[in-house]
Amino acid sequence: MPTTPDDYLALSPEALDLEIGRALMAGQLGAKPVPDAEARAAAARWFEANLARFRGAVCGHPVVQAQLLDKQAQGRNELFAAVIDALGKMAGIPGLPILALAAKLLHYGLGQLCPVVAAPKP
Amino acid sequence: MSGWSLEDAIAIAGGPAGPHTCFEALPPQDFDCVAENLQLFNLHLEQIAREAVARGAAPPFDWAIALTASSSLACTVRRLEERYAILVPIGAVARIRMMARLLLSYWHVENPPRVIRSPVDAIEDGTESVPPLLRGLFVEDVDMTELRLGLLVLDRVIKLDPVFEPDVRELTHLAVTWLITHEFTHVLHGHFDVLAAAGDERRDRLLRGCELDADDGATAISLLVMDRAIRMARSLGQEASMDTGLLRLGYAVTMLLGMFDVVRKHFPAYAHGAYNHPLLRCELFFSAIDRAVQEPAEVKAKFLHSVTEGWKRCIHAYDMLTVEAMAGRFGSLPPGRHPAPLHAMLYGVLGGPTDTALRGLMAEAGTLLTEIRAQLPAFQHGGGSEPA
Repeated sequence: MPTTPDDYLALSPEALDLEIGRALMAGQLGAKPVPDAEARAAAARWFEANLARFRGAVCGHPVVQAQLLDKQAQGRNELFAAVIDALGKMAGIPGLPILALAAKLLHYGLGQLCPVVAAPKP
Repeated sequence: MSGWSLEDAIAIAGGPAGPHTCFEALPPQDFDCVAENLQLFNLHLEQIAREAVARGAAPPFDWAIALTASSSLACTVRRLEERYAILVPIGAVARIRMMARLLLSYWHVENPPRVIRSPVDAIEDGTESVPPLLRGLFVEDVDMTELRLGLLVLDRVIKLDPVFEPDVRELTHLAVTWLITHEFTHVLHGHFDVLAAAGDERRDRLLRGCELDADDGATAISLLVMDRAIRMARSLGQEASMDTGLLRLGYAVTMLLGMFDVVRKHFPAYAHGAYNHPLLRCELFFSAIDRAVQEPAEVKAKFLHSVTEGWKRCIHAYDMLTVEAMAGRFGSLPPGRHPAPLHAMLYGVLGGPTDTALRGLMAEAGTLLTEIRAQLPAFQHGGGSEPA
């Protein structure tokens, strides 16, 4: 069971999807257990469907912007903390594991999530 | 989790399914038939809900049933802000339909061989023991593309007389509606509130009890709806028989439960967790039928014979399927993998220790069902699901 930031950052994308998917399905009942594959697929679908919202919440964060402008500016843990901070302020993700979500965004790539941040003029 | 809209719930579950989601594995005309049947079936559920609310057995509640573009076999229900969502993966419908086609192709086989393995023996099989052509039916971890292709290829090797097509449709309908009534019972009997109020230490046992109650309610409601549908058909001058309906219901539920677990086929694997062993659930289905049918003794005996005949025919077909799979009809297993029974309905070794174990589990389940019902508001106000 991951508990620390390092634990989460070490998880594979599949393991992160499983944790997010299980949280998305928490509280639902059914005639048989939902398989891991379905939980992972649910997480992937929900993540893709919400990319624009993540972009809005995360890309404007000063630490993220600094990272996007200068790849060496931030350590991974600082960036992870910034994404957690941004997601924590985001509405509409009740009960979801923010740490797993933040780690998934780092796996996805902030450069891919926030492609339009322009470098300041010298 | 609350806070989701119906659209969120459907999106998480795979998005809405359409007539072409499963392509030939569930032809568009069959998809339309399923969708139409669900609309009609939902009218029965609305009436049952109205009657339960009128006698004080449930507070007013609203729900929606949605077919989702998921390959899973697992139907689910979740509580949203203002209603409940019952989510039916189209993959489940396609798998059930193809399983019905496959099993009915053994209808004329007399005295099939029996598969000998006791569910008391703690043997765990892997999904690698499922032949390639049957993966789409029994293996959960397949995506929609693999499911579609797998079912399509399997369909080509099934030789089923077209005269069985109405039976295929009816078995599919009955299995899907049993799944939906299972989810509907979770709502009707107030399981969400009971589970939400429970502490962590009691939740697992309560959940197991709620699942038992949902199976029991599903059977009672399925029977009730079948009875009403038959009366309605007769009033319109159509031919409809309760005996045939019950035979099909016994077949459909046995078939469905047989698809539930390809890996864990032994009783000990179900000692903990929310669910009981599929074979035990099948036995409890018969108990529920026995309690729900309130007809004169002679009629009741005839009805029970019909539902048992459906079960027997289905188990014979499952045994034939297993034997043919072992003989290689559905493709070869990977090197080093041994053939195994495909399903958990291991009725071939009843008697002796297996019977003793089954009777013990039945008694445990009965105790738990009584315990959970003492806590359900639905049973404090004139009973839960109505008997037929």
